[in-house]
Amino acid sequence: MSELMVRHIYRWDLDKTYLRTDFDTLRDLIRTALQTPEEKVNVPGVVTLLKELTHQNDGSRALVTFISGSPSQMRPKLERKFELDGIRPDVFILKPTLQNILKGRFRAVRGQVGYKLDSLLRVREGGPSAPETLFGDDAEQDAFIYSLYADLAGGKVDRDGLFEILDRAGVYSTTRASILERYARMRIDGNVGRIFIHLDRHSAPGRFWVYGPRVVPITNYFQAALVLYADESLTLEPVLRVAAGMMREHGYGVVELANSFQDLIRRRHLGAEAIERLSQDARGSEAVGGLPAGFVERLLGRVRALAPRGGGGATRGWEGPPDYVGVLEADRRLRETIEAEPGLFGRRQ
Amino acid sequence: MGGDHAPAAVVAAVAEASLRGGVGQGVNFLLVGDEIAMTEALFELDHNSERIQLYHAPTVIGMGERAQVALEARSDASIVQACALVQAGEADALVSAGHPGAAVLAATRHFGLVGGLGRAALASVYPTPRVRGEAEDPFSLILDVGASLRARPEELLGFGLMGSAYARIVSRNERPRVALLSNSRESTMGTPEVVQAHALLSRHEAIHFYGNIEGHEIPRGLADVVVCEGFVGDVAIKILEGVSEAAFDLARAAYHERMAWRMGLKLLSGGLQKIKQLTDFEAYGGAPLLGLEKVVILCHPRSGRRAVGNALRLAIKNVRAELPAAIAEALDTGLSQG
Repeated sequence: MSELMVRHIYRWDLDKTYLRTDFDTLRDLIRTALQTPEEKVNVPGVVTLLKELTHQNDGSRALVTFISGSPSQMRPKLERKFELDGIRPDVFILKPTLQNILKGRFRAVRGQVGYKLDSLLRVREGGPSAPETLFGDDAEQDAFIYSLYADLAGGKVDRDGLFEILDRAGVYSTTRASILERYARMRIDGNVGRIFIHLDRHSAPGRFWVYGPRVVPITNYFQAALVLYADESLTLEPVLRVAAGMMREHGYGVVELANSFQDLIRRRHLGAEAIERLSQDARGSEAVGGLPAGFVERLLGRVRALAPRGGGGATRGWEGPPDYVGVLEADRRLRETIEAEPGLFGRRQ
Repeated sequence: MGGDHAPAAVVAAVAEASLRGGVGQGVNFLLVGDEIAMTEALFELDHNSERIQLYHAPTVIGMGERAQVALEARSDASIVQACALVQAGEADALVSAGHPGAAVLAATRHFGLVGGLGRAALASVYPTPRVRGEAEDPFSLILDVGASLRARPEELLGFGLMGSAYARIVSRNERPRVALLSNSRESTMGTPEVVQAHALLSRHEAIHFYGNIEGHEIPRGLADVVVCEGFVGDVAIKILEGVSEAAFDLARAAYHERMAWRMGLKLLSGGLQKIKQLTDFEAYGGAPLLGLEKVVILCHPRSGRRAVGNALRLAIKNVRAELPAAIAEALDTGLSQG
């Protein structure tokens, strides 16, 4: 199997991207740690999508890597969970949280930039060259880290720029040195394409616009499948199988899926060409079990409910690469801002 | 998608509601208005896009327009499109913060009237010191507050029946007290319609009739349901709202006037805040338009995000309680008795 040509690399985060994990409170954290593999719950549609993406095709294969912020002590449980789901990651990296605590590197326990970027560069070093698609979520800094990684691979950020970003992000000097060394050896091939951010917290999509149109915030994996269809990374049948799985296993209805479809059109992630192709492909495609009759027509009906696109609603302008230092600074300011509640007669004194 | 703060306030309320569990659990929202403007607003807001659909309607009926003329001229207006979507079963309830007259007219044209009354009534709530029903609602219900100008005695009886049904369902008040708004407590005083309505209400078995009340008695909460014709109700509710706002404007001015007053108001601020919350129209959400086959909630055109959010909650509650059917039943049995 390993001798097959690698056609694509899919890099995934785990918690809140693949698994529905709550760790917002100490209680959630303890519960998550004590969960058995059987009790762990997937994000709807993720397993079907991953299987469709890695489905062997024309003598090539797709490679799947997971880089997670969960502590390495979770490995046996998580590997068992993958086994239950029928997923075999090619690389599975967990965070050395205990080591960080013992070494007194407390910033690294919470911080993700240094750990994830170093891991991404390390995995890339030893791996084949192929187009990459990344999956993360809105809980931490995935959009920031993935965009930076993509811009490093595309030669858009130089060494000095990287040094400053890592410095501002509070990355420990040893990790920073490791990242800079790996960067010096990095293939600059511009191979990193789409970045999907699962909106686990339902964050405003506009929050991610700073990273440009490459980053696609998604509410569910049906949306990811549709964008991959628009990118011609998937054909229509796998997209419909993701939808059918979400309906069958997670209680989704046609309305929720149609709303998700319309949301992508409104945000310009599905253009007129993709919609036209979908309409044509639907005529020639076989019925997918579990989907109600006329499912694609219901989706297309949502297009007609929107404003005519000629002229109005021009595409948002964006010039990259992002100002990573500016993003970190804005993030810091936001955290430091404590807004006073206005009192009855004006601002609280 | 009308209103002084539309589309921002309306879209923000829906975005917030899409994230909510509780009353709004499992509810999907259909936003009707300028799609580009709504999309731009949603883009910057936390929301669950699985629960929100947008429907493009290019125009809005402005507050200064004559409702009837505007409705006839513009079938693409958001209120017309929204009513058509509800009529077609795409949604179960209509919430509007736009031109109230246009909303009443569009809703009555699209949705059938229930119970053979032949007229819908706009019901508003007003806070009172007395709480009522299992829900311990501190509000009196006043109807009609402007769905139409005049009402015949039988229609005022119908308003009493609808108000009673609403109080039973929403406030869980099994035996709501119904009063007729007049210029005197005397049953023989007032316009001929009011005198005749008094007679009809007082002898109706399904109505727990309190008698006539005067305007100043509304805030005292003597009745749970206050019945009046639309013109009178509209004037009364606006006076009551204006008095509350003026009282707080005076307190605010006094606060900045003298140190002693400022200190006094500071000491009272906790209690004043509670009164402000109680008299704040944003807290009620909106006014249900009763007597139609669909749930319709009209918000004050000045409504912000909180008011529209509360109106959405009220609409969901009324749909879940199957309010139109309950009102139809109350009118069917009540009017045949009357």
